[in-house]
Amino acid sequence: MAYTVISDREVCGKKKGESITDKELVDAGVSAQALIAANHIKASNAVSPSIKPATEGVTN
Amino acid sequence: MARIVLTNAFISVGGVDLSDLVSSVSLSSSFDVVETTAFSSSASKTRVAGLVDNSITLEFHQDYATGEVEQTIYPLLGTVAAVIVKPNGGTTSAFNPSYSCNAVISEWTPVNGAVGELASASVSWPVSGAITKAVA
Repeated sequence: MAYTVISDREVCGKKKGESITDKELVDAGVSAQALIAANHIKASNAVSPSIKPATEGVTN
Repeated sequence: MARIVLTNAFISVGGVDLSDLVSSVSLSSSFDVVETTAFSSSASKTRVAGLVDNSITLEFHQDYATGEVEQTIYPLLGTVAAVIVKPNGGTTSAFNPSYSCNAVISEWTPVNGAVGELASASVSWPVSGAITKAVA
């Protein structure tokens, strides 16, 4: 799991836009959940859910 | 060795550099003193050091903006968080040692201050375990 620093503050020595891994956070004894809750990092591979329109009743 | 005036101390809480929102820092260690006095001709008490009790005291300037003090500390309340303190924000060395510990985020005052004063938050957090000193 990798995260991107989105905060203006340095997180474990990483600046905004830089990537940080789960391992780096664990090695630093830092909670990823707390950093996400505080808007310091976000999951790099987070994908927004896409909702497709219903196709029921449509005939081809 | 030159004396030092603290102007640019480094303080990281939970992995986040909050140095520019901290106005005071104190990292302290205090050992229990265990008496070992027994009958002897010296007529003096003898003692050894027992358990060490470490703590960190910080004074924060309060800031509720995104990613600032309040948003950083609040999710850590009631947890154990990594804290790093250095006398200077520069590279860690023998003359700028880094002190790392795991502090129990046991208290927080999200709103504190009187009329006309800077909003601040003073905390004293006990450390769980030892303080690790690094010089490189």
